[in-house]
Amino acid sequence: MKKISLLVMTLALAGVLAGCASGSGSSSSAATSSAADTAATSASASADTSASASASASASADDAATAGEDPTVDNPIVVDKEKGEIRYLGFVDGAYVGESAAETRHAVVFEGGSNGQKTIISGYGDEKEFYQGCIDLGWEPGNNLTLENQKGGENAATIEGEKLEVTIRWDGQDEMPIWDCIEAANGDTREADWRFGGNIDRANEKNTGCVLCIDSCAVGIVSNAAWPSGTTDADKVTYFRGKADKLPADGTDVIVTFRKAA
Amino acid sequence: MRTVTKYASFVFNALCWALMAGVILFSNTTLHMAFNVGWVFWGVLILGIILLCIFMRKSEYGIGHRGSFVSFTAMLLTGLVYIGPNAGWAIIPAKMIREGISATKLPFGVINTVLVVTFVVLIAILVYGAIKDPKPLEVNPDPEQAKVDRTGRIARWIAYGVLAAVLIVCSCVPAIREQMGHIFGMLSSGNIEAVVEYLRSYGPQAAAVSAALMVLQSLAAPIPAFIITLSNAVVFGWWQGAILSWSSAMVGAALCFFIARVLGRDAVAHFMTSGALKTVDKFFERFGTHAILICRLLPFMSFDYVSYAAGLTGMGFWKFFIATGIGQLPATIVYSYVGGTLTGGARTLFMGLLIAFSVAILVMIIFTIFKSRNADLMKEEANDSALAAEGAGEAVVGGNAAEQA
Repeated sequence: MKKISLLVMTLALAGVLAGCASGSGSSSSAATSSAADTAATSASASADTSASASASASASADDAATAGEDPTVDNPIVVDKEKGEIRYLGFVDGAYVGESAAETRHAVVFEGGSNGQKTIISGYGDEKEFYQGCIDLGWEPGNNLTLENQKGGENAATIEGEKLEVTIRWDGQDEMPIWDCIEAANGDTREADWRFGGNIDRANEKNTGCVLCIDSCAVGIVSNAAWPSGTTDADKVTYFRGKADKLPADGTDVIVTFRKAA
Repeated sequence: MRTVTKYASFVFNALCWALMAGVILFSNTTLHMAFNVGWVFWGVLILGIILLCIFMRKSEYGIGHRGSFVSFTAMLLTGLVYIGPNAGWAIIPAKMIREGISATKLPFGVINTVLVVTFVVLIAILVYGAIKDPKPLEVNPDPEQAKVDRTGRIARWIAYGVLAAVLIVCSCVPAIREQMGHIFGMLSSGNIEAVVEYLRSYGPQAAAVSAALMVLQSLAAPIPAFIITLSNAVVFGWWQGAILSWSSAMVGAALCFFIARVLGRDAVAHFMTSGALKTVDKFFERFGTHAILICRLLPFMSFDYVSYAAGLTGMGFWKFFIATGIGQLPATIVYSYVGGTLTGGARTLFMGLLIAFSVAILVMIIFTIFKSRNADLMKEEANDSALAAEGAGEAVVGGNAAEQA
């Protein structure tokens, strides 16, 4: 009898794990098809842009290949030199969206990084490749913060570097500023000031995966100068979350676009 | 059927504890930003099942329906306190579970369905077992004592009910929840200036509010008391602050002890064998005073866990109360003096030195305990050897006598 009950228990546990695994499998295939759909939709929508890019005599073959192209799971970072922008593919983590959900300080993080599951948008692309894309576009990194600044208080400082515009779009949603989809938990409504902080040495050292941090950061490639370092973990001024009425459902693929601010 | 129910109770209880631990950690944003809370959920679940299967394998009924009910209600109340009455119930446990297995895109719906089905199946097994073959209640053969026990049980269930009602009200009434959230956020931030400002805003009632905060932080174990002690020193002056901090902390400690003694010991008895409970009792009987003195000295340690733990064991109240009073006296005086007189870097330096000093004392006491235990073991070993030698001697004498006969 004891053996039977142990067997039942083992089967129950195996069932739970198998359920999780099969869900994961179907989810990732859904992600691939969703990304493919997004790519297909965007490809047709941006056919004009592609055509004009190809027609441009000055554009290189690579530039022509990436112009207007949307990122996919296989090619999650598109550096569009012609448009002077980077398009980055990620998906929404519903755990950080809405007032009853959790809070965070990360907007976009590569899913393979240590913070890849602690962000509003998990990304498919490596943050170091993203950094290289920013450099290739000629953006100037700030590199002015250190881990000491992350302690906040008297050490708090704001990130410097190229001022950027960061937008988001997904299937059925036109491009809009990503800041429209994020809110401070303490109700502060100040505008975002996105900066190409750089920080590649620490990104290599820490492997957090951070692409876009919501407060000034010594590790994230891009972060927000509107909020000083230490705003969240150190000084506990506030954390942030996604807006449920703006962002799509959990797991939906989105394209985040980074370009030099006008 | 009894065996199936027994192992189902192990899985059920481990699942409740894993969810509780995960939700508590996940609700602390700093903690959940720092590490993968999902690992805690899976760790507690797997380790819980393994430990229960090992240590309660000889138990006939497992944890039983009463213990399982306690775990389940504790899990629900924990969820209500930390998540609140909102949609977070469908998000946070599922997020924690998928984070633990790095299945980032696994839909919440799938996880929640598996979780609900698991709970329904386990509850069905436990309810069926409780109806068909219930774990008998131990009844005292003395009718008078049995009557007293029965009254005690009813009183405990009433106390559980009252506690649950208080938690439900505090979690579900938005104004109270918001105020509690503000207070706990302020205390757990470690921002002394914010606590000082909060106390000062109450004017003449500041002392009463401070005492209430101290009692509240005692009940909510993870928050260390020294933030209030330092703030009291700033607001009321160092020695007045010290008296206020010491006396209100004593009330808080006594309250924790009695809550654990009245409500907890009976509940803990469901999850521990009587032998294990006796061992813990023996440890506290012997080293309880040491533990209390150490924990009161360490500023980063939440003393309230010790108060609850002492209440769960057989340790006498007055022994606990006196050790607490003496143990917290030097720390309260020092922290109050530091809080009332030093500022900025000097305060940080002093606190650092104090922590280093406390850790040194901790190491010393652990060493003393280890040495005393070792001495006991050696003594026992020597006694055993002496007895064995004596036995052998007798055998030889017996053998010689037999030979002579």
